[in-house]
Amino acid sequence: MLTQLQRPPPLKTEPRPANQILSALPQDEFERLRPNLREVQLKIGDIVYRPEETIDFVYFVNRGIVSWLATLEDGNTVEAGVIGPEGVAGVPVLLGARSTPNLGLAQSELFASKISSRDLIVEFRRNGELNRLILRFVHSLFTQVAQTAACNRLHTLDQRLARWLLVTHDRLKGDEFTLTQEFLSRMLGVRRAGVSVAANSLRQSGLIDYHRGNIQILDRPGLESVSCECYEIVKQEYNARF
Amino acid sequence: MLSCLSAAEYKRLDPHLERVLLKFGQTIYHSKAEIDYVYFPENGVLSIVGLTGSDKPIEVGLVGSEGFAGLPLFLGVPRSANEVIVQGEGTAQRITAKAALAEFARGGSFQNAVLLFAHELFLQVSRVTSCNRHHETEQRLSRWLLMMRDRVEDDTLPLKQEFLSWMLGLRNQAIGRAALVLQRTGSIKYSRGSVKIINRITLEQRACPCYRLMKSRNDGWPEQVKSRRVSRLS
Repeated sequence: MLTQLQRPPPLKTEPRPANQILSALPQDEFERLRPNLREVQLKIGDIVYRPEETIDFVYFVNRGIVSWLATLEDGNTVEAGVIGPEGVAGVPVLLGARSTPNLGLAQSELFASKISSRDLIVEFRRNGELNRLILRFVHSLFTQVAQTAACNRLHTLDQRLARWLLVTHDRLKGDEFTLTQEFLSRMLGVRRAGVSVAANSLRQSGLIDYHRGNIQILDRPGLESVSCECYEIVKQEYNARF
Repeated sequence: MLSCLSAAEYKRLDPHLERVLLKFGQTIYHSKAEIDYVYFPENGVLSIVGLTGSDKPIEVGLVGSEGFAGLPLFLGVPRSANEVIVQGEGTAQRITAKAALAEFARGGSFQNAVLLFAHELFLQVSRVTSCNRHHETEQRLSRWLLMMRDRVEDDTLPLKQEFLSWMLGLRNQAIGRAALVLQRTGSIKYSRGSVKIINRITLEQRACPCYRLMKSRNDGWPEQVKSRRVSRLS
Protein backbone atom coordinates (compact mmCIF):
# COMPACT_ATOMS: atom_id res chain seq x y z
CA MET A 1 0.00 0.00 0.00
CA LEU A 2 1.28 3.33 -0.93
CA THR A 3 1.83 5.69 1.90
CA GLN A 4 1.12 9.23 1.10
CA LEU A 5 4.35 11.06 0.65
CA GLN A 6 4.72 13.73 3.20
CA ARG A 7 5.64 17.11 1.90
CA PRO A 8 8.85 18.28 3.42
CA PRO A 9 8.34 20.90 6.11
CA PRO A 10 8.88 24.44 4.85
CA LEU A 11 12.50 25.43 5.06
CA LYS A 12 13.03 27.13 8.33
CA THR A 13 16.17 28.84 7.21
CA GLU A 14 15.90 31.36 4.44
CA PRO A 15 18.99 31.86 2.35
CA ARG A 16 21.59 33.99 4.02
CA PRO A 17 22.66 37.36 2.64
CA ALA A 18 25.59 37.16 0.24
CA ASN A 19 27.93 38.99 2.60
CA GLN A 20 30.93 36.78 3.34
CA ILE A 21 30.94 37.50 7.06
CA LEU A 22 27.21 36.88 7.52
CA SER A 23 27.32 33.72 5.42
CA ALA A 24 30.22 32.30 7.43
CA LEU A 25 28.54 32.73 10.84
CA PRO A 26 27.44 29.70 12.81
CA GLN A 27 23.66 29.24 12.77
CA ASP A 28 23.03 30.41 16.34
CA GLU A 29 24.98 33.63 15.90
CA PHE A 30 23.25 34.39 12.63
CA GLU A 31 19.83 33.68 14.14
CA ARG A 32 20.51 36.20 16.88
CA LEU A 33 21.35 38.87 14.30
CA ARG A 34 18.66 38.03 11.77
CA PRO A 35 15.70 39.84 13.39
CA ASN A 36 17.75 43.05 13.42
CA LEU A 37 19.01 42.93 9.85
CA ARG A 38 17.28 45.07 7.19
CA GLU A 39 17.96 44.71 3.50
CA VAL A 40 18.65 48.11 1.96
CA GLN A 41 19.58 49.44 -1.42
CA LEU A 42 21.60 52.60 -2.06
CA LYS A 43 22.27 54.44 -5.27
CA ILE A 44 25.70 55.13 -6.69
CA GLY A 45 27.16 58.23 -5.04
CA ASP A 46 24.90 58.02 -1.94
CA ILE A 47 26.61 59.00 1.27
CA VAL A 48 26.78 56.14 3.75
CA TYR A 49 28.71 58.01 6.46
CA ARG A 50 29.32 61.73 6.79
CA PRO A 51 32.55 62.83 8.49
CA GLU A 52 32.16 63.21 12.27
CA GLU A 53 28.53 62.11 12.32
CA THR A 54 27.52 59.41 14.77
CA ILE A 55 27.61 55.99 13.16
CA ASP A 56 24.13 54.66 14.00
CA PHE A 57 24.11 51.79 11.53
CA VAL A 58 26.56 49.24 10.24
CA TYR A 59 26.30 47.84 6.71
CA PHE A 60 27.21 44.30 5.69
CA VAL A 61 27.77 44.70 1.95
CA ASN A 62 25.96 42.06 -0.12
CA ARG A 63 26.65 43.55 -3.53
CA GLY A 64 28.51 46.68 -4.52
CA ILE A 65 31.25 48.75 -2.92
CA VAL A 66 31.51 51.27 -0.11
CA SER A 67 34.43 53.60 -0.59
CA TRP A 68 36.25 55.25 2.36
CA LEU A 69 37.57 58.65 1.47
CA ALA A 70 40.04 60.61 3.51
CA THR A 71 38.93 64.21 3.27
CA LEU A 72 40.90 67.41 3.62
CA GLU A 73 39.68 70.82 4.76
CA ASP A 74 40.15 72.25 1.26
CA GLY A 75 37.77 69.62 -0.13
CA ASN A 76 40.47 67.45 -1.63
CA THR A 77 39.86 63.76 -1.17
CA VAL A 78 41.54 60.46 -1.86
CA GLU A 79 40.22 56.98 -1.41
CA ALA A 80 41.81 55.24 1.55
CA GLY A 81 40.10 51.89 1.05
CA VAL A 82 37.12 50.01 -0.32
CA ILE A 83 34.72 47.55 1.26
CA GLY A 84 32.85 44.96 -0.80
CA PRO A 85 30.93 41.77 0.01
CA GLU A 86 33.97 40.50 1.93
CA GLY A 87 33.37 43.05 4.67
CA VAL A 88 31.39 45.49 6.69
CA ALA A 89 31.19 49.29 6.71
CA GLY A 90 30.96 51.09 10.03
CA VAL A 91 33.79 49.29 11.82
CA PRO A 92 34.76 52.32 13.98
CA VAL A 93 31.76 51.74 16.29
CA LEU A 94 32.93 48.19 16.92
CA LEU A 95 36.37 49.49 17.85
CA GLY A 96 34.89 51.84 20.42
CA ALA A 97 34.62 55.10 18.44
CA ARG A 98 31.37 56.95 17.74
CA SER A 99 32.28 58.53 14.43
CA THR A 100 35.02 58.88 11.87
CA PRO A 101 36.49 61.89 10.03
CA ASN A 102 36.38 59.87 6.81
CA LEU A 103 33.58 59.90 4.27
CA GLY A 104 31.78 56.67 3.33
CA LEU A 105 30.32 56.66 -0.16
CA ALA A 106 28.44 54.09 -2.26
CA GLN A 107 30.87 53.61 -5.12
CA SER A 108 28.32 51.59 -7.07
CA GLU A 109 24.72 50.62 -6.64
CA LEU A 110 24.81 49.06 -3.20
CA PHE A 111 22.86 46.20 -1.62
CA ALA A 112 23.51 45.71 2.05
CA SER A 113 22.16 44.19 5.26
CA LYS A 114 21.87 47.05 7.67
CA ILE A 115 21.87 46.71 11.45
CA SER A 116 21.88 49.24 14.26
CA SER A 117 25.28 49.80 15.83
CA ARG A 118 23.82 49.00 19.25
CA ASP A 119 22.50 45.59 18.21
CA LEU A 120 25.70 44.64 16.43
CA ILE A 121 27.92 45.70 19.34
CA VAL A 122 26.02 43.33 21.64
CA GLU A 123 26.80 40.36 19.40
CA PHE A 124 30.36 41.55 18.74
CA ARG A 125 30.99 41.70 22.48
CA ARG A 126 30.18 38.03 22.89
CA ASN A 127 33.66 37.40 21.46
CA GLY A 128 32.38 34.63 19.21
CA GLU A 129 32.81 33.97 15.51
CA LEU A 130 31.33 37.34 14.47
CA ASN A 131 34.00 39.06 16.53
CA ARG A 132 36.74 36.90 15.01
CA LEU A 133 35.55 37.39 11.41
CA ILE A 134 35.16 41.14 11.77
CA LEU A 135 38.58 41.62 13.39
CA ARG A 136 40.13 39.53 10.64
CA PHE A 137 38.43 41.82 8.13
CA VAL A 138 39.74 44.89 9.97
CA HIS A 139 43.24 43.50 9.47
CA SER A 140 42.67 43.15 5.72
CA LEU A 141 41.24 46.65 5.51
CA PHE A 142 44.16 48.04 7.49
CA THR A 143 46.58 46.35 5.11
CA GLN A 144 44.73 47.88 2.19
CA VAL A 145 44.85 51.39 3.64
CA ALA A 146 48.51 51.12 4.65
CA GLN A 147 49.45 49.92 1.17
CA THR A 148 47.48 52.79 -0.35
CA ALA A 149 49.40 55.29 1.79
CA ALA A 150 52.64 53.99 0.26
CA CYS A 151 51.15 53.62 -3.22
CA ASN A 152 49.83 57.19 -3.33
CA ARG A 153 53.32 58.48 -2.78
CA LEU A 154 55.35 56.11 -4.90
CA HIS A 155 53.40 55.06 -7.95
CA THR A 156 52.36 56.65 -11.22
CA LEU A 157 48.78 57.52 -12.03
CA ASP A 158 48.63 54.82 -14.74
CA GLN A 159 49.67 52.21 -12.17
CA ARG A 160 47.25 53.50 -9.56
CA LEU A 161 44.33 53.68 -11.98
CA ALA A 162 44.98 50.11 -13.14
CA ARG A 163 45.12 48.98 -9.50
CA TRP A 164 41.91 50.82 -8.69
CA LEU A 165 40.08 49.23 -11.62
CA LEU A 166 41.24 45.75 -10.57
CA VAL A 167 40.14 46.28 -6.97
CA THR A 168 36.73 47.45 -8.20
CA HIS A 169 36.44 44.62 -10.73
CA ASP A 170 37.11 42.06 -7.98
CA ARG A 171 34.16 43.31 -5.96
CA LEU A 172 31.58 44.02 -8.66
CA LYS A 173 29.93 41.41 -10.80
CA GLY A 174 30.46 41.95 -14.53
CA ASP A 175 33.08 43.64 -16.64
CA GLU A 176 31.31 46.94 -17.09
CA PHE A 177 30.61 49.57 -14.48
CA THR A 178 29.47 53.14 -14.16
CA LEU A 179 32.31 55.51 -13.50
CA THR A 180 32.61 59.20 -14.23
CA GLN A 181 35.97 60.94 -14.51
CA GLU A 182 34.83 63.32 -11.81
CA PHE A 183 34.36 60.37 -9.47
CA LEU A 184 37.70 58.84 -10.38
CA SER A 185 39.48 62.10 -9.79
CA ARG A 186 38.12 62.20 -6.23
CA MET A 187 39.08 58.59 -5.61
CA LEU A 188 42.62 58.91 -6.93
CA GLY A 189 43.20 62.44 -5.63
CA VAL A 190 44.19 63.93 -9.00
CA ARG A 191 42.73 66.46 -11.42
CA ARG A 192 40.19 65.34 -13.96
CA ALA A 193 42.56 66.12 -16.78
CA GLY A 194 45.05 63.70 -15.25
CA VAL A 195 42.44 60.96 -15.01
CA SER A 196 41.54 61.55 -18.61
CA VAL A 197 45.13 61.12 -19.81
CA ALA A 198 45.63 57.94 -17.77
CA ALA A 199 42.32 56.42 -18.86
CA ASN A 200 43.17 57.20 -22.48
CA SER A 201 46.50 55.49 -22.18
CA LEU A 202 44.81 52.34 -20.83
CA ARG A 203 42.26 52.53 -23.61
CA GLN A 204 44.86 52.93 -26.31
CA SER A 205 46.61 49.84 -25.00
CA GLY A 206 43.33 47.96 -25.44
CA LEU A 207 42.94 47.22 -21.71
CA ILE A 208 39.71 49.11 -21.13
CA ASP A 209 37.02 50.90 -23.04
CA TYR A 210 34.98 53.78 -21.73
CA HIS A 211 32.25 56.05 -22.94
CA ARG A 212 29.67 58.23 -21.29
CA GLY A 213 30.54 57.34 -17.75
CA ASN A 214 30.86 53.61 -18.34
CA ILE A 215 34.07 51.64 -18.09
CA GLN A 216 34.49 48.19 -19.55
CA ILE A 217 37.36 45.90 -18.62
CA LEU A 218 38.69 44.30 -21.81
CA ASP A 219 42.00 42.79 -20.77
CA ARG A 220 42.35 41.92 -17.11
CA PRO A 221 45.80 40.29 -17.31
CA GLY A 222 46.95 43.38 -19.19
CA LEU A 223 45.68 45.62 -16.39
CA GLU A 224 47.45 43.45 -13.85
CA SER A 225 50.73 43.95 -15.65
CA VAL A 226 50.27 47.75 -15.73
CA SER A 227 49.20 47.95 -12.07
CA CYS A 228 51.77 48.37 -9.33
CA GLU A 229 52.45 45.37 -7.08
CA CYS A 230 50.22 46.92 -4.39
CA TYR A 231 47.25 45.15 -5.97
CA GLU A 232 48.79 41.72 -5.51
CA ILE A 233 50.19 42.45 -2.03
CA VAL A 234 46.78 43.44 -0.63
CA LYS A 235 44.99 40.62 -2.41
CA GLN A 236 47.29 38.05 -0.84
CA GLU A 237 46.56 39.49 2.59
CA TYR A 238 42.81 39.19 1.98
CA ASN A 239 43.08 35.64 0.71
CA ALA A 240 45.38 34.34 3.43
CA ARG A 241 43.65 32.07 5.92
CA PHE A 242 44.84 31.34 9.40
CA MET B 1 48.67 52.91 27.09
CA LEU B 2 49.55 50.29 29.69
CA SER B 3 49.09 52.84 32.43
CA CYS B 4 45.42 53.24 31.46
CA LEU B 5 44.62 49.69 32.54
CA SER B 6 42.78 48.77 35.69
CA ALA B 7 44.89 47.74 38.68
CA ALA B 8 43.78 44.11 38.35
CA GLU B 9 44.67 44.01 34.67
CA TYR B 10 48.03 45.62 35.21
CA LYS B 11 48.80 43.15 37.97
CA ARG B 12 48.08 40.23 35.67
CA LEU B 13 50.26 41.66 32.89
CA ASP B 14 53.08 42.94 35.10
CA PRO B 15 54.94 39.62 35.57
CA HIS B 16 55.06 39.24 31.78
CA LEU B 17 56.33 42.74 31.02
CA GLU B 18 59.95 43.23 30.12
CA ARG B 19 61.57 46.61 29.55
CA VAL B 20 63.71 46.73 26.42
CA LEU B 21 65.83 49.36 24.69
CA LEU B 22 64.78 50.51 21.26
CA LYS B 23 67.81 51.33 19.11
CA PHE B 24 67.55 53.72 16.20
CA GLY B 25 66.97 51.82 12.96
CA GLN B 26 66.40 48.47 14.70
CA THR B 27 63.82 46.23 13.06
CA ILE B 28 61.10 45.13 15.49
CA TYR B 29 59.15 43.04 13.00
CA HIS B 30 60.17 42.04 9.54
CA SER B 31 57.38 41.96 7.00
CA LYS B 32 55.51 38.64 7.21
CA ALA B 33 57.51 37.56 10.27
CA GLU B 34 55.83 36.04 13.29
CA ILE B 35 54.77 38.48 16.00
CA ASP B 36 56.48 37.01 19.06
CA TYR B 37 56.12 40.06 21.31
CA VAL B 38 53.83 43.05 21.53
CA TYR B 39 55.75 46.32 22.12
CA PHE B 40 54.39 49.22 24.15
CA PRO B 41 56.75 52.17 23.64
CA GLU B 42 57.39 54.26 26.75
CA ASN B 43 59.35 57.06 25.14
CA GLY B 44 60.64 55.41 21.98
CA VAL B 45 58.89 55.78 18.63
CA LEU B 46 58.13 52.99 16.19
CA SER B 47 57.54 53.47 12.52
CA ILE B 48 55.18 51.26 10.55
CA VAL B 49 56.68 50.85 7.15
CA GLY B 50 55.03 49.94 3.86
CA LEU B 51 56.93 47.81 1.38
CA THR B 52 56.15 47.37 -2.27
CA GLY B 53 58.95 45.11 -3.41
CA SER B 54 60.48 47.44 -5.95
CA ASP B 55 60.68 50.72 -4.03
CA LYS B 56 62.44 51.86 -0.90
CA PRO B 57 60.47 51.34 2.30
CA ILE B 58 58.09 54.19 3.17
CA GLU B 59 56.51 55.15 6.46
CA VAL B 60 52.73 54.76 6.75
CA GLY B 61 52.31 55.36 10.50
CA LEU B 62 54.05 56.34 13.75
CA VAL B 63 53.46 54.82 17.18
CA GLY B 64 54.60 56.15 20.53
CA SER B 65 53.45 55.76 24.12
CA GLU B 66 49.82 56.21 23.06
CA GLY B 67 49.81 52.79 21.46
CA PHE B 68 51.67 49.60 20.67
CA ALA B 69 53.12 47.56 17.85
CA GLY B 70 51.79 44.10 17.06
CA LEU B 71 48.19 44.95 16.18
CA PRO B 72 47.66 42.11 13.64
CA LEU B 73 48.03 39.62 16.48
CA PHE B 74 44.82 40.85 18.11
CA LEU B 75 43.03 40.87 14.77
CA GLY B 76 43.68 37.16 14.38
CA VAL B 77 46.83 37.27 12.28
CA PRO B 78 50.00 36.12 14.06
CA ARG B 79 52.40 37.85 11.70
CA SER B 80 53.10 41.44 10.79
CA ALA B 81 51.97 42.58 7.36
CA ASN B 82 54.18 45.65 7.51
CA GLU B 83 57.70 46.11 8.72
CA VAL B 84 58.12 47.95 12.02
CA ILE B 85 61.34 49.79 12.82
CA VAL B 86 62.62 52.07 15.57
CA GLN B 87 62.40 55.70 14.50
CA GLY B 88 63.06 57.32 17.88
CA GLU B 89 65.34 55.76 20.48
CA GLY B 90 63.96 54.99 23.89
CA THR B 91 62.44 52.17 25.84
CA ALA B 92 59.41 49.94 25.46
CA GLN B 93 57.68 47.38 27.59
CA ARG B 94 57.22 44.16 25.72
CA ILE B 95 55.08 41.17 26.46
CA THR B 96 54.87 37.75 24.82
CA ALA B 97 52.17 37.25 22.22
CA LYS B 98 50.65 34.49 24.32
CA ALA B 99 50.25 36.60 27.47
CA ALA B 100 48.91 39.57 25.49
CA LEU B 101 46.33 37.41 23.73
CA ALA B 102 45.21 35.81 26.99
CA GLU B 103 44.52 39.22 28.49
CA PHE B 104 42.81 40.42 25.30
CA ALA B 105 40.49 37.40 25.38
CA ARG B 106 39.23 38.44 28.82
CA GLY B 107 37.48 41.32 27.09
CA GLY B 108 38.09 44.01 29.72
CA SER B 109 39.61 47.45 29.39
CA PHE B 110 42.75 45.98 27.80
CA GLN B 111 40.65 44.77 24.89
CA ASN B 112 38.90 48.14 24.73
CA ALA B 113 42.21 50.00 24.67
CA VAL B 114 43.63 47.72 21.97
CA LEU B 115 40.59 48.17 19.72
CA LEU B 116 40.42 51.92 20.24
CA PHE B 117 44.08 52.22 19.35
CA ALA B 118 43.40 50.13 16.22
CA HIS B 119 40.84 52.77 15.28
CA GLU B 120 43.25 55.65 15.95
CA LEU B 121 45.99 54.01 13.94
CA PHE B 122 43.57 53.31 11.11
CA LEU B 123 42.70 57.02 11.02
CA GLN B 124 46.33 58.07 11.14
CA VAL B 125 47.17 55.81 8.21
CA SER B 126 44.15 56.93 6.21
CA ARG B 127 45.25 60.55 6.76
CA VAL B 128 48.65 59.59 5.43
CA THR B 129 47.03 58.26 2.23
CA SER B 130 45.77 61.75 1.48
CA CYS B 131 48.75 63.63 2.90
CA ASN B 132 51.11 61.64 0.70
CA ARG B 133 48.95 62.55 -2.27
CA HIS B 134 48.20 66.22 -1.68
CA HIS B 135 50.85 67.93 0.45
CA GLU B 136 54.22 69.50 -0.25
CA THR B 137 57.59 68.30 1.02
CA GLU B 138 58.03 71.13 3.50
CA GLN B 139 54.54 70.60 4.98
CA ARG B 140 55.08 66.88 5.29
CA LEU B 141 58.54 67.23 6.80
CA SER B 142 57.15 69.70 9.38
CA ARG B 143 54.30 67.35 10.23
CA TRP B 144 56.70 64.47 10.64
CA LEU B 145 59.06 66.41 12.91
CA LEU B 146 56.15 67.49 15.12
CA MET B 147 54.73 63.99 15.34
CA MET B 148 58.15 62.68 16.33
CA ARG B 149 58.63 65.47 18.84
CA ASP B 150 55.31 64.66 20.52
CA ARG B 151 56.32 61.06 20.97
CA VAL B 152 60.01 61.36 21.84
CA GLU B 153 59.33 64.30 24.16
CA ASP B 154 62.66 65.83 23.23
CA ASP B 155 63.39 68.78 20.94
CA THR B 156 66.45 67.12 19.47
CA LEU B 157 65.69 64.32 17.07
CA PRO B 158 68.13 62.01 15.36
CA LEU B 159 67.82 62.48 11.64
CA LYS B 160 69.62 60.58 8.95
CA GLN B 161 68.74 62.34 5.75
CA GLU B 162 68.83 59.32 3.50
CA PHE B 163 66.72 57.27 5.87
CA LEU B 164 64.19 60.07 6.23
CA SER B 165 63.99 60.51 2.47
CA TRP B 166 62.89 56.88 2.20
CA MET B 167 60.39 57.26 5.02
CA LEU B 168 58.71 60.24 3.39
CA GLY B 169 59.10 58.87 -0.12
CA LEU B 170 61.21 61.80 -1.29
CA ARG B 171 64.54 62.38 -2.93
CA ASN B 172 67.46 63.09 -0.65
CA GLN B 173 67.91 66.57 -2.12
CA ALA B 174 64.23 67.40 -1.59
CA ILE B 175 64.54 66.71 2.13
CA GLY B 176 67.73 68.76 2.29
CA ARG B 177 66.08 71.72 0.57
CA ALA B 178 62.98 71.58 2.79
CA ALA B 179 65.11 71.33 5.93
CA LEU B 180 67.10 74.38 4.80
CA VAL B 181 63.91 76.40 4.37
CA LEU B 182 62.75 75.41 7.85
CA GLN B 183 66.15 76.37 9.21
CA ARG B 184 66.21 79.78 7.47
CA THR B 185 62.83 80.61 8.97
CA GLY B 186 64.09 79.70 12.41
CA SER B 187 61.89 76.68 12.98
CA ILE B 188 64.67 74.12 13.27
CA LYS B 189 68.41 73.83 13.54
CA TYR B 190 69.67 71.19 11.25
CA SER B 191 73.04 69.53 11.49
CA ARG B 192 74.51 66.27 10.37
CA GLY B 193 72.60 63.44 12.01
CA SER B 194 70.19 65.50 14.07
CA VAL B 195 67.51 68.16 14.03
CA LYS B 196 66.70 70.49 16.87
CA ILE B 197 63.25 72.07 17.01
CA ILE B 198 63.77 75.76 17.83
CA ASN B 199 60.32 77.19 17.26
CA ARG B 200 57.40 74.88 17.58
CA ILE B 201 54.82 77.51 16.66
CA THR B 202 56.30 78.36 13.26
CA LEU B 203 56.83 74.67 12.58
CA GLU B 204 53.14 74.04 13.27
CA GLN B 205 52.25 76.85 10.88
CA ARG B 206 54.34 75.24 8.17
CA ALA B 207 52.95 71.75 8.71
CA CYS B 208 49.92 70.58 6.72
CA PRO B 209 46.59 70.44 8.61
CA CYS B 210 47.09 66.69 8.91
CA TYR B 211 49.27 67.27 11.97
CA ARG B 212 46.55 69.12 13.85
CA LEU B 213 43.90 66.66 12.70
CA MET B 214 45.90 63.65 13.82
CA LYS B 215 46.86 65.30 17.09
CA SER B 216 43.39 66.42 18.08
CA ARG B 217 42.25 62.82 17.85
CA ASN B 218 44.97 61.67 20.16
CA ASP B 219 44.77 64.61 22.49
CA GLY B 220 43.99 63.73 26.04
CA TRP B 221 45.30 60.27 25.55
CA PRO B 222 49.02 60.82 25.88
CA GLU B 223 48.30 63.30 28.68
CA GLN B 224 46.19 60.75 30.47
CA VAL B 225 48.90 58.17 29.95
CA LYS B 226 51.55 60.51 31.33
CA SER B 227 49.63 61.50 34.44
CA ARG B 228 48.76 57.92 35.29
CA ARG B 229 52.29 56.81 34.68
CA VAL B 230 53.58 59.38 37.11
CA SER B 231 51.07 58.34 39.74
CA ARG B 232 52.06 54.72 39.34
CA LEU B 233 55.76 55.40 39.68
CA SER B 234 55.34 57.56 42.75
